[in-house]
Amino acid sequence: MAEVILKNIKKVYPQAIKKGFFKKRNNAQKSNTASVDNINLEIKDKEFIVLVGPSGCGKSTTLRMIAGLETITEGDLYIDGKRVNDLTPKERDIAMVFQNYALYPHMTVYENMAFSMKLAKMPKNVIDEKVKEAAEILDITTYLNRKPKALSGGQRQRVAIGRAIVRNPKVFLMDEPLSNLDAKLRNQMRAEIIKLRQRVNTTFIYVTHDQIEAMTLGDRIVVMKDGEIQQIGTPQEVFDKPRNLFVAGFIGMPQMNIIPDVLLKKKEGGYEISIGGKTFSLSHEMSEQLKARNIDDCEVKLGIRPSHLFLNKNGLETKIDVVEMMGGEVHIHLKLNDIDIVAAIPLEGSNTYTSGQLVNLNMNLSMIHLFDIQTGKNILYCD
Amino acid sequence: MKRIITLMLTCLLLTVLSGCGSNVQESQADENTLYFFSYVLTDEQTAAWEEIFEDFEEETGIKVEASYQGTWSETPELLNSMKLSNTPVDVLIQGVGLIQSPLGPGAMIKDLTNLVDQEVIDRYEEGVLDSCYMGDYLWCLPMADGGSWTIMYNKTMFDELGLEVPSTFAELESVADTINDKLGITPLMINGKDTWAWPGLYMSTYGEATGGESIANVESFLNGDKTFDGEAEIQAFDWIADLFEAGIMKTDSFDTDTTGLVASFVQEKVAMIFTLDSTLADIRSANPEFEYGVLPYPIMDGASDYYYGYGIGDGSLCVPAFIDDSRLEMVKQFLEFATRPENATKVLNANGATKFKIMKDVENSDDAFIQEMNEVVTPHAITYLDWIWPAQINDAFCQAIPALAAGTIDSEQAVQMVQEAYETIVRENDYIYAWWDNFTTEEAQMVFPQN
Amino acid sequence: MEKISKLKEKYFPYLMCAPALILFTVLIIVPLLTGLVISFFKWDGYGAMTFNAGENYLFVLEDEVYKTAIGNTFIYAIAVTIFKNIIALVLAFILVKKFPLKNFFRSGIYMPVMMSYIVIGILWTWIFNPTFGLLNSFLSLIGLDNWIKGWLSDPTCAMWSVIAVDVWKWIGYHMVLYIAGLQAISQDYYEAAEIDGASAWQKFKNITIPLLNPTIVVNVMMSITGGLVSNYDIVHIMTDGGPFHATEVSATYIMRTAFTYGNMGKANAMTIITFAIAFIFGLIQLYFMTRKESEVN
Repeated sequence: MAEVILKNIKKVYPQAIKKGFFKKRNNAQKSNTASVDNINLEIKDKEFIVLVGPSGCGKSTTLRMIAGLETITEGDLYIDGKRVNDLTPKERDIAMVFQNYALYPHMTVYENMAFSMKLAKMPKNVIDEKVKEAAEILDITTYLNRKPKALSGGQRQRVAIGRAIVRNPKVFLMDEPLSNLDAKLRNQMRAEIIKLRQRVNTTFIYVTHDQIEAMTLGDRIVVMKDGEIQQIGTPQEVFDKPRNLFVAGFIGMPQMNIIPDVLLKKKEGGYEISIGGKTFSLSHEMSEQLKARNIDDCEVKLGIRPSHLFLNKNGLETKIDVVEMMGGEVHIHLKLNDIDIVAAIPLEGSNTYTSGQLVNLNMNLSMIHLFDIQTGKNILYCD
Repeated sequence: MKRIITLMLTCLLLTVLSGCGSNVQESQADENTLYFFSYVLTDEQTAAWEEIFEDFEEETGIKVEASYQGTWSETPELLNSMKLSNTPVDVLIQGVGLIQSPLGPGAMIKDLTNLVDQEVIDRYEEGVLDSCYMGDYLWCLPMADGGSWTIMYNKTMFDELGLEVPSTFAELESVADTINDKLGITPLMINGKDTWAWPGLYMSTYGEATGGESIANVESFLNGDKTFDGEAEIQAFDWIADLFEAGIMKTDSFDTDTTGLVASFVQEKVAMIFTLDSTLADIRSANPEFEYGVLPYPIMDGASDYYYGYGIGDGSLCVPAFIDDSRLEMVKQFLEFATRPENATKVLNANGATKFKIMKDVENSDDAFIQEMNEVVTPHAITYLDWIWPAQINDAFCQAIPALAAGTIDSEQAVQMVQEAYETIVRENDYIYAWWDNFTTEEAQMVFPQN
Repeated sequence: MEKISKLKEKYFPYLMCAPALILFTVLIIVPLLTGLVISFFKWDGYGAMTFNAGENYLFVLEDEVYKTAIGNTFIYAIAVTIFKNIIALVLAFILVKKFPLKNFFRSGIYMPVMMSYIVIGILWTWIFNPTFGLLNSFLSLIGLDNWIKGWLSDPTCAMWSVIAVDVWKWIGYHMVLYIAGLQAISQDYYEAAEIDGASAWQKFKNITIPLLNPTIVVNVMMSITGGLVSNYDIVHIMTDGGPFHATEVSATYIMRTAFTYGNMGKANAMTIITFAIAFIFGLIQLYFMTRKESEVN
């Protein structure tokens, strides 16, 4: 039962002030000087929010500030309506799962899970009950007497989660919890986290650099870069309406194709674009949107997802570089105006593609994105 | 390849190790070479010896091969290892103290009585060879200066305070009172951190308590003829305790070693020091301007004369017991050659003229202080007791005297400690004072020349 | 050919161990057994050896000084271990942090480790000197005149003065080991514990100490064995067992018995007894300190 509000949160690592034990050995996120700037975020109660971005973008720092492991240089942090900037992690009533689990190597699984309750001087039988309950949820009952050393990566991950859930925290923080697992386990654990979320039913803040995790887990996604929020939205929003080039490029597999040097022209009754000497008229809907924003003739960058490209006679003629067989579809790498383009083409009938083959590339014009060449902003949605 | 290298290294190591073990071989002694061994001497002394060796070769054609190793106290161990490894040694330098124990009882030293002619004996001053005789046997020939305990005092300080040289305990006490009152420094100090220094006090007090009969008394104690708990023994301890009770000596003596003693004396942090005369060189090098004199040991109430422990016999020539009798002729020649006054003077006076008159035709120092010391100390000299009693007994004194001075034990307990130490060595070491009469047949064959 | 290579395979490991084994045998086992043999003889180190059964051991057991020496040896070893480790650990905690001149302090504290006991012993004897030593001069300078004492001559504090010097010499060494041990503990554990609600003390108790245990075991083993057997140099230089055996440790007494008193048999008997006591003590200590470790595996 807790909403988390970040107001103008800022983090600066002053070079001159070196403080704290062990600072030198901390993980990359902590020790680099990339600060977090002007983070405004309202996380609703019981929401599952995912902070996503490339490494060094400040997502872990943000999470650690919420946890209380990192001081907040400027701004206010509220948990459950209470300003918590100056509270210790313990007083914030949060739980956290670390990237490398941070299970106490000298304690058994049971002791690891019971540690926080033991420190809180809870009665033994209550501790026992809670640990066993959590163990059951996570299916680790048989390992309770083992030390972390004797567990596999997936089992350790479950223990780390178990250690967090026994406490019934207001907020559940997860810092790249799946990044140390292999691909297969990661998929499996992802599903388990979804199930877990349904059972524990609290506020989750989840940090990852993996967009698939972000898309599949989050109610809302916060895309971050260089310490700043790029976009906040549901997975669908972020995928369909990326606010800028970075979000467009970061979300989606394979990456969105970006074609520079595209001319946008205002014509009577609508807009058209010309790529490599060929012109395409934009849809009425899109033209209206542009008109509403008073967009004049200009040069733009065009973004188009590989799945929105197709091959037909009317398209731009080009040569296939490489063909990647993906099973249900093929990824065709082509060159357009010397730009590498990937098209995801569904395999139908007996169509075959080989490298060197000449094809005509066309696109679903209602699915294109137009970005300002200076600011990189999506001119369809942003000012 | 690696394996081959490893194998070779292993073999090499084994060879080296087995080499270490096979040092025991036939003695390589050359018929026409005399092997001389000594602890490391001063450069001047070494040069003096080298000169003698050259002259000796010129006269007799016998070459001398000398080696200098370790300190004087390491000689017994070194000599033993030379014996075990058959390293040739014909003549060595060692003092009376270590001959008394452990070299003599360990059958490591040859009796020189029949190797030294009367002519050689006569070269020495009267009484100088006394401590070189144990039983009726002569064990060594002194080739170095003697030494003695003495009290030195700061002349300048005494003059400034208008103090007279004290000769009785009461006078010393009043001198000490003045120093305590006027300067607030310790009147008399000993280098008590070096535990060996403490028995020096007892040599003086026991001399006074026995009326000069301390040597005879100790000998009969060590022979088991008397126990060490008579009146004189207790009295001698009491008189040491009196020095502390009267405020003449203080506990700072416990922490002071020789260097500290000299430094305190020269820096005027102490008025008088009880010391071996060998500190003289240190005092002179620390402050050549410093003026000092020699005090007689205070005559205690009931005593008639004073005594200082002293000894001539350090740095003496002796002969290892384990050499072959065939080499004795050569050794005899060398002993005679080295003790000729013109040769002996080189060694005796290598580090400046000797303080004590050792040989008749060798000049000793005419230094004013030494003259004073020869006047004050020499007539009252009595052989160092620690040259007579064994290490364990000496150790008992080294423990008992400071304990007594600190008030931890009383004089009765002190004599008891000495008596117990004696009983322990008799039980544990089969100690016999007259070790020269108690060799096994085999040992006796080595120690006493057979023809 | 194959047979030869099989032989090689079989004996090669033994060959590789051989140098170490040979050295250990020659330098440790042989002297120990020789000592055991000598301990049953009456021998002054020079003359003939006479067998006296276990009499030497009887002499040792009757010897009050030896009992004092053994007691002192243990007081010394235990005190040195406690102080070295606690001070080194505290220093490690301070010096593992970043602050100006950190490396200067680290090297400064490590410096005495590289000095020989002889140098240190003489240095501190002078510092402790009652007449013009630095310590007493300093105490009187700051007005603590009633603290002035004969640091090495007062039987009640001589042992502690020697212990202080030994501790001073070695804390730098242990501090470096502890710093390495502390740095090897991942910061994540502390953060996890912080999230779990642990206070600074609880983190120290539940994270630092258990995870530092291997380092502690090594440090304690080293200082205790060092305190039991390698205390000869410093004691010999500073007090040589005095005053009144107050600082007598078994090593100084054994050396004196062997080389000053010329009683090799009894000295060897004392060595064997000291060795046995230290050996048993070491085993017990190792057992208790690593008991938890072995349960893990």
